[in-house]
Amino acid sequence: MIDRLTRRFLGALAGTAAALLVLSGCVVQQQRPITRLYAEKATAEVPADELLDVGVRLFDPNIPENEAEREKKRVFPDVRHAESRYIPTLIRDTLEDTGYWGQARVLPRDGTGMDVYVDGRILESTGREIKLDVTVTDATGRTWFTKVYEAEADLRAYKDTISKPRDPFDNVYNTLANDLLAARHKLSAEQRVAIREVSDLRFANDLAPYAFGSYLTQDRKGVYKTVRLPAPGDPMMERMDRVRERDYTLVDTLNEHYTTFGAKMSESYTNWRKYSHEELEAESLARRQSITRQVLGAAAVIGGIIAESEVNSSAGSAAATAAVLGGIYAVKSGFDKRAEIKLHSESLKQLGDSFQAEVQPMVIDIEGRTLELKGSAEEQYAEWRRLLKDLYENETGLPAATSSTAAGAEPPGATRP
Amino acid sequence: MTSEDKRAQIDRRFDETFAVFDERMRKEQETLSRERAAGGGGGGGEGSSDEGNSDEDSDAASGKGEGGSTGEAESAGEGEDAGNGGEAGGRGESAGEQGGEQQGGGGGVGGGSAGGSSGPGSVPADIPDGSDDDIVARQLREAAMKEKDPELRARLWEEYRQYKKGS
Repeated sequence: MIDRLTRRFLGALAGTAAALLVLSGCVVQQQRPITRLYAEKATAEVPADELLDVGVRLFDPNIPENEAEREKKRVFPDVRHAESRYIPTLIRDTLEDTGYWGQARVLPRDGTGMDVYVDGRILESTGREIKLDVTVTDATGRTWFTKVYEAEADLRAYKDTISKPRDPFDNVYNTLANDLLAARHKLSAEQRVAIREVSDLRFANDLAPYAFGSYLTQDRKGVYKTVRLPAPGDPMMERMDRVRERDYTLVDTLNEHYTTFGAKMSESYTNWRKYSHEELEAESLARRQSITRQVLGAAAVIGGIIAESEVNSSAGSAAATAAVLGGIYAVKSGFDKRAEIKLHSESLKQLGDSFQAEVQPMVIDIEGRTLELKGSAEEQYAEWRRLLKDLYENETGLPAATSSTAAGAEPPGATRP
Repeated sequence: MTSEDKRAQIDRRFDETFAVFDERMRKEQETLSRERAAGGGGGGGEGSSDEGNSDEDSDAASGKGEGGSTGEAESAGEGEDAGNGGEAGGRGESAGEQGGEQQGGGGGVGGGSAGGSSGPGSVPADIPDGSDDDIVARQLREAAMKEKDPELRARLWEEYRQYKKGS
């Protein structure tokens, strides 16, 4: 026996259900415009010896090994590989625009030779939202901060793609730039200069540890400190500076590769994000409608049955029957919505596959070209290591104590493992 | 062999290997410049600083949003290996230091060429002298000057103009 209160509740629910059933068909998810955030820009010249060079390393694409998980999370491996190169170019551009930094460059995952490093991991990246785990460190080995950046797409970016292209997640990059700046502001001028010195000496130490090993020390936490600086006119340092110029050139050239890659994929990537955003939204809407219709439809059926048992008039009985029939129809249409959800899921998969097929050759191309460039540079670095060793022995008359590091042939800056 | 001789020999070898490396990088950057010019790209889709646009929310929650950046990050270079060209130069130095230090990477860029002519090596009349070119602009200029195909050359110059406009 259903008590009076329950009956009243179910009756009200049935009424509401009927109203919502009508409305649920035309609910449109309205997104409020996202407030734009801007990166703070320098309004005065930053002293040259405090300008820190920033290396944004290629991000960890964070691709699940398990295929089922990839499908569930809708991770398209080649798209992620592309994003792991593309996102750093956007961060670099943002930092460059601020005027607070020296050179901002995109580096390979193992790249070194800069003063500050931005490393990141893509936790989530769709046309609708982005989630990045970012860590910033400096050449001394100190961690500035680690933070997860998360944002929804600014839909206006999908609208004015022609007149004023911008990234839908600019807020994330601008916030990161501001955080980086805040961390930089916490350092004293002396600390900034010290980071640059350590960066220079670490580069020199990588190439000629027998000559520069004693200039640096590491504390218990592994943070580097300068013990002393090379004397002005030091013949080793003079040659080292010339090698470093070449390292900058290599970094610049690799960086340009990433820029070109970003420019190439930008348009199709924006389109993919735009369409996948629409599909994701449509899928969410269909899912909500499906649930709403099933729940409210069931409520309408129950309410109708109860009402039918309560009313005496033929008009009331007809209304109750209508509620039951409407409820049944709603439940059925709720089930039908599942097909629509499946359709959107399939569409998302096709969009991903299609963009993946488009971007895959670009990823392979840039990977091949940067590897080739690094490979040919390695030969030169091996030769420079040898020449520095000869020079050291010639200048000091002492044998250069070689170590595994010294004997290595890898470029110390751009591509050191 | 004296120590001086030995040092000179090492330096010669350094110069040789630097020249090989610089040439390799120059070619790579030239290829990249051509690709970018051919793709009509040149930084499309980048940038986060479109101040003063017509978005309804001008309430920048953090930061100023505009104001020219003064701390430039262009290469300074030492210009030691004249002729090798394409040096990136050292750390990002402030703008004021760039002036006379860039002779390293030019590779015969500077002297204003005969305007009007459209053959390789010539510079269109509206192109500035390039004394304030950064590395990308320099590469574009060099690629344009060396390009024999008139159509591609025109595109490279256009790319150069666009780049200079944006830099």
